[in-house]
Amino acid sequence: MSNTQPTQPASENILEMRDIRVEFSAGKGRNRRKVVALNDVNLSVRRGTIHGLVGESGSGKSTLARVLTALERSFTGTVVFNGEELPVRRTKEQRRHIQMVFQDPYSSLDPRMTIRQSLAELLRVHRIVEPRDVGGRCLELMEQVQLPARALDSYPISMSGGQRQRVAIAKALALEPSLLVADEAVSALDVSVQAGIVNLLADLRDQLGLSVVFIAHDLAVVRNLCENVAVMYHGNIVEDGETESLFTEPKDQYTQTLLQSIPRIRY
Amino acid sequence: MNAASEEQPLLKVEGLCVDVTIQGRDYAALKDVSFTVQRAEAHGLVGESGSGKSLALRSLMGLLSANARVSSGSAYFNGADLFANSGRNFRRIRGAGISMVFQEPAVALNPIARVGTQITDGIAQRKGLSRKQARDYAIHMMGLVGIPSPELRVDAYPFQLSGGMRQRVMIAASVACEPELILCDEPTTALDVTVQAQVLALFDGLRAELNAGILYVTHDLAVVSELCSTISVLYAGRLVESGTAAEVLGNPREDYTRALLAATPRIDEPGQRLRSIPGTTPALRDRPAGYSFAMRVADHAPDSPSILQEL
Repeated sequence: MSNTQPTQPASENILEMRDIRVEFSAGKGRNRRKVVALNDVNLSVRRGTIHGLVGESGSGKSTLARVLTALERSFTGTVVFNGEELPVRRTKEQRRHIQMVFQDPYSSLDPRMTIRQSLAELLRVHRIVEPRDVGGRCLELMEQVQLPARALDSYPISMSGGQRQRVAIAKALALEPSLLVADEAVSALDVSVQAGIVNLLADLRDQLGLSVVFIAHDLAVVRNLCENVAVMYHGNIVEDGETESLFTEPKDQYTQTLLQSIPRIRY
Repeated sequence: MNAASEEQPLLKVEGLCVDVTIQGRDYAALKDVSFTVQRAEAHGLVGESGSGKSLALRSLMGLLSANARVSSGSAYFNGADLFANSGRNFRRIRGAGISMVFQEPAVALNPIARVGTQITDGIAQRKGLSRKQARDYAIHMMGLVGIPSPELRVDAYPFQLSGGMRQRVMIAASVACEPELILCDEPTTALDVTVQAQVLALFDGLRAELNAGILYVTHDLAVVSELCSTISVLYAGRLVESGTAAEVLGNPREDYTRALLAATPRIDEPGQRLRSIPGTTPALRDRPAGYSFAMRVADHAPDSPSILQEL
């Protein structure tokens, strides 16, 4: 994937989010009030690393992911990607570089298309490869997500949850992104299947140099996979640092509470 | 079983088989599953999706869907046969004897009834409480499960409460009659870890204070390890292994339990590469007779190095 790396790497950080603020209004009439979903958040992701994002529901994790992938456009602040400030309305090329994997792979796949058709459509629309190379690229993608080639002719319905999530990752990889945003991508899977997807993300980082923003509520997975972790609470990043030091010497009080709450296998 | 002896376990399930009918054919969803729950003991029923853990719970409560039925086996609660005569028998036992906490409180609670009413519906009828008494009791129970300012929230509707609060309401409703046995179907799966820790502490308190037995169904080995002293592991409708938590989690005898543990990320042992288990549990219709974990491993042996050799 030679064309994965766009232009010259401008800095060590593939992504810098600066003072990102998102406000929603909630309620009606007299109860109308302002909800601050992201309160001037700053986040930097180092190239080729997996950056975990943890926090309870409603803390702003998914809003942050939506700002990143341009699904949420009403925000203030700047998103700097590869040294280039991204506009609110991104070009197709700019969107291609940041791809998202969702929690429920079934709802992000078209049930009427085989995996081959889904992938081929993406490759054609975004003109990733020459038309005659589409078939070969599909096979490569299957290899990257560790699925057998025969899976290309299956429909999503005949696949297991873990296989579907691999297909969802393949679809994201088809666009040769440099940053993957995984929003609770392993949360709905059985632990035996989850382990495979976690390993796959680690392999993609190590082999393709892919950078990942990994949103999860399972802190054990985060500790296993991520180089860095940011902890969110009520729209703020309350702590952000290297995984090991954050888990062993948490400084913020909420982080400490969070870590104490993790169930442990004590045998 | 005849006269109830003092020594009999609170719940004794033996040789439980549940058949599910799909398109006119019967499939064995649970085969020969046995376990016991003692008073003041939390027993974990662990398994992946398709293991039949929820089905086991529902069969005990008489809540099987129309196409599923207990085909053989027995379940004795305090010496009383749970499968003997369904309707009236269950009605007497449910609530006061056995209660159930479901995974998703938003679905299990009635959206158009105030939470206080839902908590005391059962006990008010049983004990003939007045509305005032019932309301006071609801406030008491809500305080017990850790809902802040219960006197303000007793008249709330479920949609006005957060997920964690709703789950507490459901727990309050399930323990309002001080049941001897609480059946839990993944009650903390939808909750944040901080809330989950509080709910687990709550269950442990109820177990110790009410002397209640808890049958806790989950896929999460860490949660089981926190709450339960004994564990049964299910795979594809069969009991794989059971014993004390220390035996099963610390020194598992069976390949499947070992594989499951190796696939579980450990918060205390970071940086270890996880070992995934190839394949998945086949759907009920695709399960060959006598299906076992060894068959799943054998099926996928060609394209992956055997997980069993590594373990």
